[in-house]
Amino acid sequence: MLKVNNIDVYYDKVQALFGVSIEVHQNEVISIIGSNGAGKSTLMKTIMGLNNAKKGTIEFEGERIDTVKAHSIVGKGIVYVPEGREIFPDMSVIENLEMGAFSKNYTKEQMNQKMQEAYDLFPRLYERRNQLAGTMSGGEQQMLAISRGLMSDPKLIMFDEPSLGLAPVLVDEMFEAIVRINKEKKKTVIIVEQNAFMAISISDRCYVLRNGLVTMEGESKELLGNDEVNKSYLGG
Amino acid sequence: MASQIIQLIINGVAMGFIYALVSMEYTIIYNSTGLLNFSHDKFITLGAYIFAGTFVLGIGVNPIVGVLATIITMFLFGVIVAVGIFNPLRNMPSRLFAIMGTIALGRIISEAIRLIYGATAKTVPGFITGVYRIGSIVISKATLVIIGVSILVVVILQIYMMKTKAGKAMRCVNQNKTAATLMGINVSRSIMITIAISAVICTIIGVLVVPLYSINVSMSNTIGLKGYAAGIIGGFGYLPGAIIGGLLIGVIENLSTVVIAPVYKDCVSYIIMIIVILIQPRGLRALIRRKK
Repeated sequence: MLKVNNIDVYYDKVQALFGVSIEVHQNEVISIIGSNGAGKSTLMKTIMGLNNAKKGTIEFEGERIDTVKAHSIVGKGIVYVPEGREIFPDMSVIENLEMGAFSKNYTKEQMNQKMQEAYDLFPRLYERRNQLAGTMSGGEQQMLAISRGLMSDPKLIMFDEPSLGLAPVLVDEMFEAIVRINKEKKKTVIIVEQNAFMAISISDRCYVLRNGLVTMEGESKELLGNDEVNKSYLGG
Repeated sequence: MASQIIQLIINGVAMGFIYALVSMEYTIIYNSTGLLNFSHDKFITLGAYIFAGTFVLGIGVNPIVGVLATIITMFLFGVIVAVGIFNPLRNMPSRLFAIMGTIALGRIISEAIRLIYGATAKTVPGFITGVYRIGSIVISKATLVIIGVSILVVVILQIYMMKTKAGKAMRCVNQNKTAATLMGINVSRSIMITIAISAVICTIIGVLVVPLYSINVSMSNTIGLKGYAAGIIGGFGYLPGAIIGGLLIGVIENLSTVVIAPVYKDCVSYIIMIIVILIQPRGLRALIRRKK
């Protein structure tokens, strides 16, 4: 479904990704783990067109998307839920959700139905629907960011550090939601995490990034048993 | 005395709305791009000249048609300015590039006006003239038109930003450009529309002051500056504050003529601005406390 082929990405003169290739199939959950600065977010942003790859190609459903403008990527069916949530603080929850569907021309009923789905996933959002998003707690903002991403009914949804700065009980809730998004809503999922254990345990396959290189890839089950992964990322 | 004060307040509200429109016109650009349009007063002058010089006195169309034609022309002008100056320069390493760009644009507009329309001042005879009398209160028709049209502009802009998809996109761009892009919003295009809208507001200001001032190259210098003062008093970048700030300045400076000589009227708004900067730089925005 998504094929990232041997891409090099630079920030000015500093190279951030070195020949990175990943492949994602329909209905999979892929985790990308690695420490701070390994290039995980850079990879996501490059897929979204926010960074440009100097070399290599990105294909989505057989179509080159590395030359497509950033604001057109959503229309192709890829959504990125960025690190640090990036919600619109001076808009209400409802307005934030509406903006998530910006790329679609929904009728009023379709819009209401999508919102109902968001409220079903996170009932808390319904309670907060008229509140300004900037005044909500971190966990609620993360719920909003995830739901906002789902509003455009994407085929592939990418989560960047969804557990960042959240209380453990909320972290579990986020990961449960992500599993439901994959299983019930049939979305292909990429999850980027520093919380490696959680990410690996809910994913089918995993890529390990280190200093801009893919150093390991494979079935999540196998990587969980791998000594090096254990030592470096799982604290074992 | 009482009727004199009422009259001063009404005239003050009218001038206040002019300042409020100026303040709104550059605030929407500031919010969208983080940049100030230093040629904004020249946009106002250009609007007045295109309306009066080209359409009404030149081609000789009916003023209403002239206003609509000017609005369309200036909308397109705004698009060109966005494509030529704001969008290429806003991503430069320093804001200075864009600032210099708009200052240069202001000079270009002034000199172009001088070349095209000549250096002599113009007036549009018979455009919104006449007065209404209620008892001993005398109100010019222009005052009422200014108040009415300004309220209309404020309401339309509000509806645009709160209810339409493009308006909501504009607010998203103000708050977070990366997130707006991720939603599928074309940030450059949204900024282009914002600048075109700003140019249209400038045009409306230019046309509204035609009955008050003669049309000349420096006609909008004072209202341009007072518009900044209004924005600072209202809290920079805060749209409702910009409107209230404009009205406050307009009314206070008019009422001040009761106690001080009218010559010093123009100083009043700048003094208020300086006091606001000294005491509460966030202006009226400081009064609104957000629940955290």
